[in-house]
Amino acid sequence: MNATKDNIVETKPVEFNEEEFKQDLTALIPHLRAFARSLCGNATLADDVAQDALLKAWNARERFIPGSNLKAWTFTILRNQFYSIKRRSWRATSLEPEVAEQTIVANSDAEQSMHLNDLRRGLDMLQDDQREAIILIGASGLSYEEAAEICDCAVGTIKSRVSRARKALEVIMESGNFDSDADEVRAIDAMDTILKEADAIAEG
Amino acid sequence: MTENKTSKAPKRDDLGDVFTNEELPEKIGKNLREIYDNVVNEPVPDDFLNLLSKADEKTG
Repeated sequence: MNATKDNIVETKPVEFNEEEFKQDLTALIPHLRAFARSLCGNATLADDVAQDALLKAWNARERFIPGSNLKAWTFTILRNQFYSIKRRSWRATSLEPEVAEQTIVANSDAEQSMHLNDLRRGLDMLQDDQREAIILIGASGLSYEEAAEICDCAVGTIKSRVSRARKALEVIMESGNFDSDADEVRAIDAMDTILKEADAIAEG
Repeated sequence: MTENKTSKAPKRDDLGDVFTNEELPEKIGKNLREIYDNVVNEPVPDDFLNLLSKADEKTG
């Protein structure tokens, strides 16, 4: 019995099946879009990033190890794509709070979406590494191990980033410093101060 | 003629309502998942599906 089992493992490695891969990839599209949207807020830009990532994943399909974690694999591709675009053209395209608000308002009632927008802005104020960590762990349902693989860092690093992100978001949300009419620059200055305090708290 | 009768957009001292009966960390966690899940539950735009079928034609 044992010998048979061993045999199966050895003689039947998971073979790459293109049709199956395509189905699995298609099933992940909603998650790719959600991860991209959580990272950048702007729905149009997020979908562009997600589409680029989808195409890259498809073109790289022969490098995917069958049986390994496709979600983590595609998220890694999306993350690389996101930061590559962000480095190139972020300032020119991304900071459009109105767009972000519209996309969120469309999804739920006005009262609730107002609070989601607060959190949305809070996310925007986090450092990149903290934002991605809290999205991966707190929203996408991935494990610390998977998140560490995606972000190419140690599990402990992810844990500490998530913890810092949580504390920073709490400080930001607690301050309630979100008057939509407020001067953006002043608000960002204030947030800078708050984040430094939050960091100090997290480190201490 | 009270002054606060025609209060404009209230400052965020309505946060008390926002977080009623819910600790801030839980509220943040819930909203975070909601932002993500809202997108997961959106119908997938045709662009995405077309992308894969087009890529298929090219390579196949």
